[in-house]
Amino acid sequence: MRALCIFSLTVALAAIAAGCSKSPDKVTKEAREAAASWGATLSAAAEWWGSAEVPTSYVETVVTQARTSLQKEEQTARTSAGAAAAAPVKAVASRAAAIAAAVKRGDRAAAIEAAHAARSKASR
Amino acid sequence: MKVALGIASSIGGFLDVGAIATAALAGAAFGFQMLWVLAVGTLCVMLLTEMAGRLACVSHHSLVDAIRERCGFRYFSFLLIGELFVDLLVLAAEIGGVAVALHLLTGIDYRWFVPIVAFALWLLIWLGTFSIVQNGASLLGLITLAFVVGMWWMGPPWHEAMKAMVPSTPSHDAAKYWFIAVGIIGALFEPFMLNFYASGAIEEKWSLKDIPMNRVTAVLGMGFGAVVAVSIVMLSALTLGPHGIQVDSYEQAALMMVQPFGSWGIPLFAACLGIACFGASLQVALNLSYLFAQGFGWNWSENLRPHEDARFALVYTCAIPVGALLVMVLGDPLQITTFSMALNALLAPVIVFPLLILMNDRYYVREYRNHTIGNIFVSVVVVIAFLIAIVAIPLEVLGG
Repeated sequence: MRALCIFSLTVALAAIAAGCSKSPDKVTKEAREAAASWGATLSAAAEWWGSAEVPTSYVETVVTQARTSLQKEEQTARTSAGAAAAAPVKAVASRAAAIAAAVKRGDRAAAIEAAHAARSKASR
Repeated sequence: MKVALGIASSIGGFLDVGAIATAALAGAAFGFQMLWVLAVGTLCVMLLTEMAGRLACVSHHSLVDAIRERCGFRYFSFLLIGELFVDLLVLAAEIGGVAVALHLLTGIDYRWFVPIVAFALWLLIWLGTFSIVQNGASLLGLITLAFVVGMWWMGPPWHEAMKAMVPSTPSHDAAKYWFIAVGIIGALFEPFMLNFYASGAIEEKWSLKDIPMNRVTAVLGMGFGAVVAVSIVMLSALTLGPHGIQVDSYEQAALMMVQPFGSWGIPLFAACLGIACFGASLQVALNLSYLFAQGFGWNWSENLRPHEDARFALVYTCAIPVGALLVMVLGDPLQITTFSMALNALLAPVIVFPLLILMNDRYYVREYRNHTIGNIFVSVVVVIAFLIAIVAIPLEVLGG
């Protein structure tokens, strides 16, 4: 029983220690991956919204989720690895804002255009 | 009807928010490469489920009941604390999964649905019987076959899927790979499922003559869950992977159904997620009641009226609001899910090793004891999952 308690404590401490030691390279890589993934998500969602395959409420949800996640990623990247690391995230976030505006207007063509831009910004 | 218990256990314990999330994550990030983890885990969980059912058929003990009797109260209290903590997190993840499904359908913030889902869950357990819970989950859970249809529709490269059944190591993101592997194993070995299955067998008054049916039920039920989980991995690999979409939220995972089903895709994904999670949350909440009632020797049965087993009813009445509160406070149901699945892998040996002891004890299972190969296979897989979990949880924190 005592061994189990010590073991649980060790796992918890290892997790905490590991959480405190993210390198700037790791943060930069994660920021780039998050930007690419959300860029692709926004692109797919907006394109399918353009062809009426997903409902408007869903695209709005995806855009909100993307903006929240990207905002967090941008903040983490800026704090840990500087403005350059946060740049791809910021670029995709700005396209997310453009998609949100297009969805609000009901402008499917503009949404698709913004989606393509989001994907190309993310892949850069 | 007896096979329904297997499918209900499969819908809840196997095919729940954890399986859907980890399978979608695995497919999007690593393509078919992680199918072998599902294959090994499924074989193992089939063996474990069959053992839990056989124990109930022969000894008329549920798993928790027998563990408390055989291993003593100290061991049981450790199991109780561990399972209480993990089950509450899993319950939060399942309630969150239903709320997210409703959010996907309506666009309304998922937090608004959490109390409604929690109340519906409590009301169904309070008013329902075991057969309603079991048959309802089985019948509605058949909708998850939509993942299989979707995967089929995409025309997957079967030879690649077959190749992926052979264990392999990742070429990139090793920490993420092993964390997802642990999550998949954790989603399969949810400790609550084994006790729920054994308790269900006692609720249904299984006896020696049901042993062959128990075997069929374990294989068919878990096989059903495995086919659906494999389909999710493949569908995610075929639809999300090529676009470069990683699954960081359920909104992203939902996109996997759009390519095969068009405008039906999002509603179908939401229905599959919602029903699977609701079935699972019924089981987790009930299992918490079984855990306390069987451990402390209280009256227990979902078939009794709440006033006949008041303490049993009190446990789920308290657990459901706590689960709902956790999802409101912790937020992000997907993060809760992936973390709780890894904790499941850590907890698995605590319940699996006593099960192996019981299944080799003549006092409980008489001549229906385990074969050596089954014992060795299950022990090895569980120890490996446990060891990977020890490493993977810090690695996941490290890797974000």
